[in-house]
Amino acid sequence: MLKILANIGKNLISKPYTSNYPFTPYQHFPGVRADVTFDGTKCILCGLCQRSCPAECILIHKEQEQIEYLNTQCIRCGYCVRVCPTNAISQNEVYTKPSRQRLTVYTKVTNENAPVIKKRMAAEAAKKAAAEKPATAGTGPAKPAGEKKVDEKKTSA
Amino acid sequence: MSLIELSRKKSPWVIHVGTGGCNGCDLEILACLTPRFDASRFGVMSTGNPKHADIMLVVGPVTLKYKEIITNLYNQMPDPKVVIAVGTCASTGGIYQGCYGHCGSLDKVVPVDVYIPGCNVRPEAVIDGLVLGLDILNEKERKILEEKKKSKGAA
Amino acid sequence: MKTTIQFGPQHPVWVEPLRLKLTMDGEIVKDCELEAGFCHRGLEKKFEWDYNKGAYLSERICGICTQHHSTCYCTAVEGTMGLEIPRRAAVIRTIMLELERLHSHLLAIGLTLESIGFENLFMLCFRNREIVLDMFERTTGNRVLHGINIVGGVIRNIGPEMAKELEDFCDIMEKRCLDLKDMILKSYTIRERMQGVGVMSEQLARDLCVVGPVARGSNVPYDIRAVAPYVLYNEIKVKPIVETSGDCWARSVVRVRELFQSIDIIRQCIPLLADAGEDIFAKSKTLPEKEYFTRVEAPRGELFYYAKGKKSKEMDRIKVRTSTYGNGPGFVPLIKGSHLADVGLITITFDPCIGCFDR
Ligand code: SF4
Ligand code: SF4
Ligand code: SF4
Repeated sequence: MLKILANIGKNLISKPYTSNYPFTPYQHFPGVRADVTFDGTKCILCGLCQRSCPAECILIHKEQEQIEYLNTQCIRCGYCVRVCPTNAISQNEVYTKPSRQRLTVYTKVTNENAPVIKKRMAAEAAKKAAAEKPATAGTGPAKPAGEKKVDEKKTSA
Repeated sequence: MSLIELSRKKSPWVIHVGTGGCNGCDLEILACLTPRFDASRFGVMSTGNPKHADIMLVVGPVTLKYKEIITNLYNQMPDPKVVIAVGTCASTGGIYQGCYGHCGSLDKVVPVDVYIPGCNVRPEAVIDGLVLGLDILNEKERKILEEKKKSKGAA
Repeated sequence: MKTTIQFGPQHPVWVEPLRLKLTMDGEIVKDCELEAGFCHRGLEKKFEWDYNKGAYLSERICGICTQHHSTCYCTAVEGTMGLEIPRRAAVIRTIMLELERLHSHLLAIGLTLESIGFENLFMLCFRNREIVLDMFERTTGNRVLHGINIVGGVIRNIGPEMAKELEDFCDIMEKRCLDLKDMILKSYTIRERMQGVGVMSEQLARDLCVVGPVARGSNVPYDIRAVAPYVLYNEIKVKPIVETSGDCWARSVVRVRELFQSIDIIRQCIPLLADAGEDIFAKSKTLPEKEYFTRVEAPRGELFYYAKGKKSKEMDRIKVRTSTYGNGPGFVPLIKGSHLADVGLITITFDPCIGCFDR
């Protein structure tokens, strides 16, 4: 009985255990895993993250040079962060707010060292050169096909 | 704000349905109702009866066997009602992408109003989702009232 | 007169869907039929892919014994490859396994108490559970699904500061658990409600091959940690905790006593961290065409994984036999002949995890 009274007294004095969440800011420990962000200046469009993501939520569009990231489908596992060869992916620490629609985030890749972009630039330069020097068309359409073959080799290797 | 709207906002009753996810999000909903993140501060009460509920919290990619039951539960809830997909796998299928035993995601079975991403979701996110759900609930309420007025005016 | 009652699948006692078809005669249950499969997603088929992704998938079979599932999966795949994990990884895995057991048992005790209408203690259990979850968030980065196990080791280290925190955590947790134990074991109400309800005799337990706390509550000292030691349990000796009476009370008491065992094991593991090497994972290789199986003592009992490789990155076959799958048939004979009011209590003391059951 005395123990109960002592406990009641203690609980009356101590401050409430409940976190007052919506009225106080969100607190978390360092290193909490939330959704990921892509760095367009580092990515080389290798497609490794797309192949290794367990939830199939990264889509690399090589032609449009952009990364499509289905935020609502990501399971926050952090595997892509470990896998990326250029550290272009970083993991956030604050959770995603609920929304009325599914979220999709597009990131434009601007890294000039990416093989795909290099090739496109080379092709553009060649076209420019071709435009200046008329009557040498026909190399344009052949190039994308060659590009695809290279990619396939990469995936099988 | 009318009296009904106010009372709805102050005490939403939720029903929690687990339809075959892992248990991660179920546990976080339980954690939401227990001392640390006490959601009953906002009058949220968990009920087992769909006929008393305003908000349905669904966890898991709806399994084929559960599909019928969840449509049943949805139809039993009184209007206005809000369906919240808790967790990645309820929203889009998440890691269970391409398994043969489920229908993909919740929105292929019943209309979904709020998506809470995260695997597992954090209790804070569930609270945020409930708050967003309440706004939608009130919107729906207003719509229903307007329609009633219109039909009365026409008659 | 006979009536039939459908218990479930959407029932307040369980968090998850399960259906019991009860044939009643007045208040007494005459016959009981168990219907499962509401959670079947087809995960064993899904496992036939890249073995690195499989570690994340195995976590998501069940959210309550995540760490046990992924450890068991990783050990099975490592066994297939003949890979030895670094010692530090083994220590970290053991600590995580025991932390997981703490949180799972607290949850099970809480839900049992809630099903007999003891709201207060239920809330208290969950309050204590939050400390464990905070510890998880601190060490692994997520509250429920940790994602630190990969094939070959773990991905997050426990540094010296974290080890200090773990020690403090053990002290706090032990104090709280002692409080809880006093409240539960000395309470006249709880004992009267649970004693003599749902008795599983030793013979029945052996016949049905039940596992985990259910078996140990019926005087069967079966604990994989002692019978077939895995990760670090060769060095840390575990003595199975046994109760003799086999009713709901005994099963709950086994869980309460195992809380202290877990804290004890964590305490023994922390000093081992200091002189383990720095490596936390070994490089994994391609799967040969071999097979292997592992057994792990999950909070609910024995967990079994069978793995078979096929000379590529992909697995050929994974078979999972979970603990609730072993315990499931035990519901039926206990429910037959009990009162309707006891059905919820009996099933919840088995600690059913339907996500595991159906996969
Ligand atoms: S984000 Fe990284 S892994 Fe993904 S395509 Fe870019 S460089 Fe490759
Ligand atoms: S965190 Fe996991 S699920 Fe999310 S994008 Fe990366 S690999 Fe895919
Ligand atoms: S979203 Fe993730 S944690 Fe939640 S139920 Fe689904 S698989 Fe489990």
